[in-house]
Amino acid sequence: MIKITDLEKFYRTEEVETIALNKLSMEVKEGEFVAVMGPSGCGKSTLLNILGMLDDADAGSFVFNGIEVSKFNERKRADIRKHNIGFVFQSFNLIDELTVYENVELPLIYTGVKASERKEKVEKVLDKMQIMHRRNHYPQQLSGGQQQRVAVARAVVNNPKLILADEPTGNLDSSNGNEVMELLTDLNEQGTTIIMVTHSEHDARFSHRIIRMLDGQTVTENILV
Amino acid sequence: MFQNYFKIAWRNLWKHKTDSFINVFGLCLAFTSALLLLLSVAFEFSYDKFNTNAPNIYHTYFQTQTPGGDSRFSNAMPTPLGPVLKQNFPDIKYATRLANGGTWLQYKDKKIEIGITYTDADFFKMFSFPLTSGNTTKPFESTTSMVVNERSAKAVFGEENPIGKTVQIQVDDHWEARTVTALIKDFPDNSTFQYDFIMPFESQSFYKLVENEWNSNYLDLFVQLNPSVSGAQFESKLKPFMQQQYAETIKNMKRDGAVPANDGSYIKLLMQPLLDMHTNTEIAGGQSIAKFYLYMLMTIALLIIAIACINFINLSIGKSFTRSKEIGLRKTLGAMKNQVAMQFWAEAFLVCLVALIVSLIAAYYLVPSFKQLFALNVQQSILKELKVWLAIVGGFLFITLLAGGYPAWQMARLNVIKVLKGRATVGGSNRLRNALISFQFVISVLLIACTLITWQQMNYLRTRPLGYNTQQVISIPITGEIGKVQALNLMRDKLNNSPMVESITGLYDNLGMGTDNSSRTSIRGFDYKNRELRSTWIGTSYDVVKTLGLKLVAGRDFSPEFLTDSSAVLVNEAMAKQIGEKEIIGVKLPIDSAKPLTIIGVVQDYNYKSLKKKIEPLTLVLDYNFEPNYILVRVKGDRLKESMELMKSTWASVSPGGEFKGSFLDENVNRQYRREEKLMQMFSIGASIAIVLSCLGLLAMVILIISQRTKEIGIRKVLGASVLSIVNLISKEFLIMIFIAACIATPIAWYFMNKWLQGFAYQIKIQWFVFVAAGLLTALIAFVTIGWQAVKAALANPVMSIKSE
Ligand SMILES: Nc1ncnc2c1ncn2[C@@H]1O[C@H](COP(=O)(O)OP(=O)(O)OP(=O)(O)O)[C@@H](O)[C@H]1O
Ligand SMILES: [Mg+2]
Repeated sequence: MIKITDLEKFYRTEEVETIALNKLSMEVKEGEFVAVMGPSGCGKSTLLNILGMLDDADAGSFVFNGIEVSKFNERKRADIRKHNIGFVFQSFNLIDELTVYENVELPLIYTGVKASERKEKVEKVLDKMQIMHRRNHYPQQLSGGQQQRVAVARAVVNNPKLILADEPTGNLDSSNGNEVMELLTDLNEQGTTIIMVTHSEHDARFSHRIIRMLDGQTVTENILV
Repeated sequence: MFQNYFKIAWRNLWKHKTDSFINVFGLCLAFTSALLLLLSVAFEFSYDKFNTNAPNIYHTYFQTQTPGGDSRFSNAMPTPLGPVLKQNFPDIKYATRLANGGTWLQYKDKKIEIGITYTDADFFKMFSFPLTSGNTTKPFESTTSMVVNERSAKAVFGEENPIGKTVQIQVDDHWEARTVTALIKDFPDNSTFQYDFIMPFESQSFYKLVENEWNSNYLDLFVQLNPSVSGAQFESKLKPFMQQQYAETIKNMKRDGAVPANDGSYIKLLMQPLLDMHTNTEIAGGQSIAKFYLYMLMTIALLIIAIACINFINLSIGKSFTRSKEIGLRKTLGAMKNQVAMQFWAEAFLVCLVALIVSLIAAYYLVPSFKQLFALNVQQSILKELKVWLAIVGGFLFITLLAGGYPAWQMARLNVIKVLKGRATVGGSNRLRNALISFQFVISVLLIACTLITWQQMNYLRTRPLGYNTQQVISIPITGEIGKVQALNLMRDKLNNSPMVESITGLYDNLGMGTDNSSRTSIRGFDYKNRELRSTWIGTSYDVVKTLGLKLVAGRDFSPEFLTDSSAVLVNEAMAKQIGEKEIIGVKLPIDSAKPLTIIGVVQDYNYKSLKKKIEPLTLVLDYNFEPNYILVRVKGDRLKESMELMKSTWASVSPGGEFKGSFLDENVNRQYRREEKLMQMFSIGASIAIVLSCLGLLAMVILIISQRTKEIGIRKVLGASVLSIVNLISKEFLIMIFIAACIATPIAWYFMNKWLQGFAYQIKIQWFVFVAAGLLTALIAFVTIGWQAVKAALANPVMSIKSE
């Protein structure tokens, strides 16, 4: 599903040039659950942003579902993104002004799903995440774990083929964290590919494979299954 | 303590230079324009107030009823009225008649054209125009006395002492001596009266002829009542007198079917307070200025200030979001609510103060050009008056309290715990902000709609055919010492064979408003077959139909070939209709029983007055009592510039001393609408300032909103929002506000503009699309303002904004 080769990414700020990704290559197959680990600042989030087509690389190739996307313009990338990829962030990134229901509905609106269909899909996913009873609450009225469940609901409501999760449990206590991890495992078992950045060995064990990074390069891979 | 507030305020302002600049710039623009407008209005309203007796002085006018049921107003009084009233009514303390004339004055080898005002001796007692030298107690020693103002005295006598000097003035066809008995101080700029040479009323050459003539109305009468009587009380006391004095007139009015007024009267003598004169255009024509215009100026000024204040309030409250941490910290460190409020108010005060100082300086230097632009009388000196300063300081404090105080108080009330958790917002929701922004848009749409409607009406006035040739006819006011008829004849002799000239005629009343800025109307009433007919009376000369390009409905033009034309008249269709004869040509009008006037032709109705007035009955005569004051020349072809040059050189040879003030009729016609043109300019400038200020506020607001919503925008983009949907997200709210604003502004603009249009006999219909256009224009301007910020926000890389946690 994903194949990247010699990917490079630089950040230039006031004469200092940071190499965030240094000729990084990796491959992820459809249906896999991959964890990415490494010390702070090694380029994990950068990698995830590029995989999610939020950012583009400076060099290298990125093939997504057999299509070379690294040279795509923003519009095309956005188009692929909204139909194929869901995001879960460490800081939930819910919109404070919208209710739980509206937050989850948003990706459907942007992909142009009809209103009747939207209602059905949102309710189904809220049910699955067990936050249906909170549908009319605002993010601030929820606990961190509940907020992250909403964020996961929002990420999967469009039935994406790929979920990118950047430290999804980083802001949660262990029991809330485990709940989220179980949700992701469930999704993976139903066929969704998942790439997850994490600092926690515990969480990483939920995955099939761990990619370890250092200074913008992969150093080792542990296959768990 | 205070010093500390201001020191910190200054530092804060300096730190946020861009915001402060937007604020100060907006306020300066608003304050300067509002100051100029308000000062002008104050000046116009101050007219004649310096007269200490002003509250008791009245200008008299007649109200007469017509068969149509309307009332006519006239301030022209007969000669004996003043003295008779003063004799019979002890309520009158002083009374003076007033009439103007002009002639030539000779002193040693100086010869100048002067304006003379004839008054009664009471004039000097009623009004506060101090006599500065000479016989200050009894300036009118005899009928040859003359009072001169200081400026004119200097012009005539130079450094000599004018008191007791004798000058010659031209009276009809001979010269008479006049002696300067007193000097009068120059009239203040805000005085309705502006006179150079004042002479006793009885010294008019024709005084003896009209002394007891009740049927010739031409003078202005002013009375000063005892403070115990009001104008209205005195008016009712006058009723029996009027019944008796005008019994004959009333009888004739009844016969003609005049509809009596509500109180049953046919003719009333009414009192117009002196203080109303300058702002009442119904009775006193001339240079008075309509209240409507002044209120309009005032409203625009206040609206502009309101817009600036709204910007200020919105920005302060908006920014409090970013400054809430500071507020919370100050409070946890022990600041009291009002101390926090003081801190924010000090900032507002400083911003306003800087703006005020800049604006005062700007206003002072802009007064002269502003005055010209809007045809107002305001003087720079008004900024040196104590009262004005008090008003400015008062207004300033009020504005800073409102615009600075409200947000300061709101911020001070913030809940500390919420603030430190980063969850507090000022004002709860954005309802206040949106209401204020909508209000700004209401003003913008309103002013744009008014601009469009006045523009349409002006355009209509300028292009509507008037029924006569305006493009090829030059009107030349007869100036200089030459006799009027002689001047016309000489011009005819010199130009008759010129290939550039089609025909020449003369007119008693100018068409439109010439460069001599004068216009007059004479209306005559006479009995015809036991009915009173009224008609505007205009003296003219041969070839009037040809020169003006009028259309003859019947009969013929005046011509030198018919000797009988000296007792012939032309009438317009309205007059013909009023006469109501089947065969109109040959009808004899019994103006003067010894010499009836015969109608020789009927011309199609043409707008001999401005389009504010309907076409009334008109009679054109060759009467020598209505000598031509204007020579009209119709030129051939389109070499207009050369034609004008030819007129100028010919006029110089005809009247060597007379200034050439010729102009084409179309210019004259347009000049009549100067007031309206100014109003239109005012609306458009007001609209521009309102739009600029609103957009400035909007811009700052949008930048602020976007900065507060970057994270949300980022998330939406990650979830697949397109650039368009983000732009839409940011601008939608504002566009809805503009839509609502347009809906509110429409009926208001419609109401006021309709009222304004009522002043024109010929008016456009207000069309609905004007309001749609005004709304769309506002929306477009606002959208451009918001749009580029929104697009910038929408194009930003979401990775950055999501991360900012
Ligand atoms: N916008 C940016 N400008 C400059 N440098 C950046 C920017 N974003 C990331 N970097 C740098 O790129 C490198 C990789 O950053 P990245 O955010 O990918 O690290 P990370 O592995 O996700 O770290 P963490 O575990 O702390 O989230 C770091 O050295 C970081 O300082
Ligand atoms: Mg990271």
